[in-house]
Amino acid sequence: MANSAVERRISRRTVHRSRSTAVSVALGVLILVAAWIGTESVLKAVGSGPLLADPQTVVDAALRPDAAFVTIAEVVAVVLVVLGIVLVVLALKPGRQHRAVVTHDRGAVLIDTRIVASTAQNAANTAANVPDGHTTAVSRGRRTDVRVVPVSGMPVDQARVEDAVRDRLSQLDERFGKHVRVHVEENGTLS
Amino acid sequence: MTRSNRTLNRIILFVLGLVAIVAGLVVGAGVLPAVRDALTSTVTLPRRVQVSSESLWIVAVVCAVVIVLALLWIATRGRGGTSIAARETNGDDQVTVNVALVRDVVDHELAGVRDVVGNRVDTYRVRGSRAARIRVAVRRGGDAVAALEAVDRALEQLDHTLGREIPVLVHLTGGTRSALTKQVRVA
Repeated sequence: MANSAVERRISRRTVHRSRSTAVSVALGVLILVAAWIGTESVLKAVGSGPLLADPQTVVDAALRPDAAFVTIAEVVAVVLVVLGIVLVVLALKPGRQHRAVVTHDRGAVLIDTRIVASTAQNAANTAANVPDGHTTAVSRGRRTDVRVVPVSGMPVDQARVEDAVRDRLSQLDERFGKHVRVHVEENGTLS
Repeated sequence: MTRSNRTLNRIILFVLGLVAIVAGLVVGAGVLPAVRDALTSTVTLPRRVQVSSESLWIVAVVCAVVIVLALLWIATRGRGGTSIAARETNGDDQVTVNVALVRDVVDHELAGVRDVVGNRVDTYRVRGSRAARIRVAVRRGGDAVAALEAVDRALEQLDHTLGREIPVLVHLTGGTRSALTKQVRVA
């Protein structure tokens, strides 16, 4: 784990996604809409012709559209609601990325779960003594699942593989080692 | 790592989302009978709104303010990066360590490590102090334990070179570069 307050802060901010991109895109759309509304208002106020539609027409069309605007109003309504739900979900979800914080004496260390999985896979490969591609590993959070497909006629000791994987992952962080599951397929294949 | 205010980011997203949903429902109530029926029990929407000529200028000014604030917010995202990794003041003398030195030390120590295909170092100002972020790209199918050991050696060398421990974040990633490299089989 991180040692100083600064390291804790930066590791927390790396595990959770920043919404800066989402905010910038949403604000960009808002700017376009506001610019259009503002321009139309000013044009109406100084008495020039509208760009697309003057404010009164827009308000009328939004509240009680006549036949010509029904489809447009429907599409706009659906798009707005869907966009709004997406934004609210983005705002409320924790936004964790696939990374795990690791206890370490120097610095704050973060590891992508994909790499934790490949580490487990390597260890299982060596312990089971099967060729490459006979093991697959999946990591989620601190849990790691390994699947081993034995080579026909060469039994694989499940406990031995599990120990090896647990051992390897414990070198990264003890908590990884506690949640290891190894599954050995019953039917082997030829490599 | 950057200085963007993440809570405010969330609040802005939430408010914009709510505004979009409400606007969508109001427009939808005009065309979709189902939406109208669902809404009539709770709110009554005006059938017609007269846009008066005085309100036009108010609308225009509000739009201008919104645009300026939004542009400001977008422009200030992602600040906090710096090229100075450490600064030491001793009386009138001042020593600054550029990020290039940190980069060189880390590069040199990680060169030739089998499971590491690349690294990127940047420094940031965090809460008044300076912190380095070292992103280490691990080869596809590579071993995190070996990579972390190599990084530890690099950090030791870095601490030795700088004469003090700066806060660091080590991030072992499988970036796009490592996705393109070959898997290495250890016999």
